[in-house]
Amino acid sequence: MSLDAIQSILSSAVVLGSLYAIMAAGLALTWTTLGIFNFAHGALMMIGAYFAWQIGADAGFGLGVAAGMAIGVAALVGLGVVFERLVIRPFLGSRQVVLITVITTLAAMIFIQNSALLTWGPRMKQMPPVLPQGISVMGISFSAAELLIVIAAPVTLIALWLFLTRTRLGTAVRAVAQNPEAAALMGLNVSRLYSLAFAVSAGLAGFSGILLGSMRFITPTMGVEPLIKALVVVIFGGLGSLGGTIGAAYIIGFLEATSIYFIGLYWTPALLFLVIIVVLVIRPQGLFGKE
Amino acid sequence: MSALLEVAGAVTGYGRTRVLHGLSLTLNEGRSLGVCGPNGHGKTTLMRAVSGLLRLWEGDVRFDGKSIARSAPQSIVEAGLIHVPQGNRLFPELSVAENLRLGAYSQRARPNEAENLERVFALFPKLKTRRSQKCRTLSGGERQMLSIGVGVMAQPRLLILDEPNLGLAPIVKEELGEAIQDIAERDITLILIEQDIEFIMSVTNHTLVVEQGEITVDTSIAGDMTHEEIVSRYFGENA
Repeated sequence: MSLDAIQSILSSAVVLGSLYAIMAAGLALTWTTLGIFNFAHGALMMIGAYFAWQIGADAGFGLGVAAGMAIGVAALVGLGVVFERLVIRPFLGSRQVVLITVITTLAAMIFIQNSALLTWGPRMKQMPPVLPQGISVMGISFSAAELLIVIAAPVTLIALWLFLTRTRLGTAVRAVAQNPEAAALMGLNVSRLYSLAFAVSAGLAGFSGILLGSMRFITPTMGVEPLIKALVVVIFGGLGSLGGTIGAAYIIGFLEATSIYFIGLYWTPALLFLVIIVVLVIRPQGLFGKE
Repeated sequence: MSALLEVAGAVTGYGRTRVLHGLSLTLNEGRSLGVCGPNGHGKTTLMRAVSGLLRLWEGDVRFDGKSIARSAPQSIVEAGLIHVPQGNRLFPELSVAENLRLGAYSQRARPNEAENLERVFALFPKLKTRRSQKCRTLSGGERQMLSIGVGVMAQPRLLILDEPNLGLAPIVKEELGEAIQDIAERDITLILIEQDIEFIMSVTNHTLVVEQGEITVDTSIAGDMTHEEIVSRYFGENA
């Protein structure tokens, strides 16, 4: 195996892992707080990318990529609050809440995808590059968009981790997940914390969508495949722990990059699912999950 | 002396099943009230209605003169009415310190957080040594100490303890009992739900017996049963 091959695998592993880590962290946040798997997470990524394109690209409002990213993420935070209000909140009291929200979030996914199709049309969009050219680190060349992902992912995740563990509000978000009734009896505003969890989750979705959109093309269905990857990552890492999710994201990224290099793009998803099945047979609680 | 808590004609239940049938009580500031009675007769339901977890169908609850029957649990906590529920699991994946910190989540409790934490650690020195341990690793007794500690952290004007001794070993009960006694002797108004009549007698000023969703005995009313008579009624002559 040549040095070039190793470099190429490692660089794409780091890029993929970083992208999956941001996506899966957002997905895991709502999963652990509300016990709800948000099937529209990928659609939220996609809409974030379109917002950023609309604001930043010359064919849109032409305000520049940085403004597009900032406003795109902010818009998604707001959208997350609305999303929770409309799609999740009305069903929270119900006994079948998990089942119902599978349907409602799937419906929201289809709705958001088709709204994007009607608004922006079926033609692919491309985000203007953040920096004119790429950069080379230790002989491995990254495009500007890839570099941004590799740097932004750890920064975002450390910020998220600090928020969840070091602030009173973040501790409250984790607490609500574990015991909503005790949380209410301690004066925590349970529904506002749910809103907050969705806002942060949608913001992370939007951010990862924008990053993905700056690497690949933006289409109404661009979020479907990453959603499945994020699902794989969250299950693989074991539910409930942010650290496990992040570790799993990089492992899956590495597996995928290696497999694409040696086996090819076509069989890679099958291989990933095979790995998941094996892991779950041996450790049903996930790789880093607790008993 | 003004009434801190007034429950007037409380009717509520679960689904279509009525549990409370027009129950009323009054508790003055600085007093402590014991509530006992058989299981499944509405003690816990009453407290869930008082703390806003359960809506009243009829009647009213007033705290410090204001009706709280339609208030969310959050604003009831903010007013200083703290309910430590039965068999509280707290937040299993958070540390002891984090659980205590969340106890002081309300605006009214935040300024006194450090002071209250000292007080909790003085009441339960064990919690101090276990402060960085996850809550799920605690023993039943320790978890109960933490539950009460979380209640104290909330800077209560009225503290409701729902069967704090449930399922604990006698030696642990004794330790908890001393702490509860200590709380009752301070300025905190206390409601203690308990099966152990002896224990209720030693801690509280007066006792109610709740049966079939109604108050059947109130020791504060002159001419009613004494503590001893309650004991003999529920536990036989030799108890």
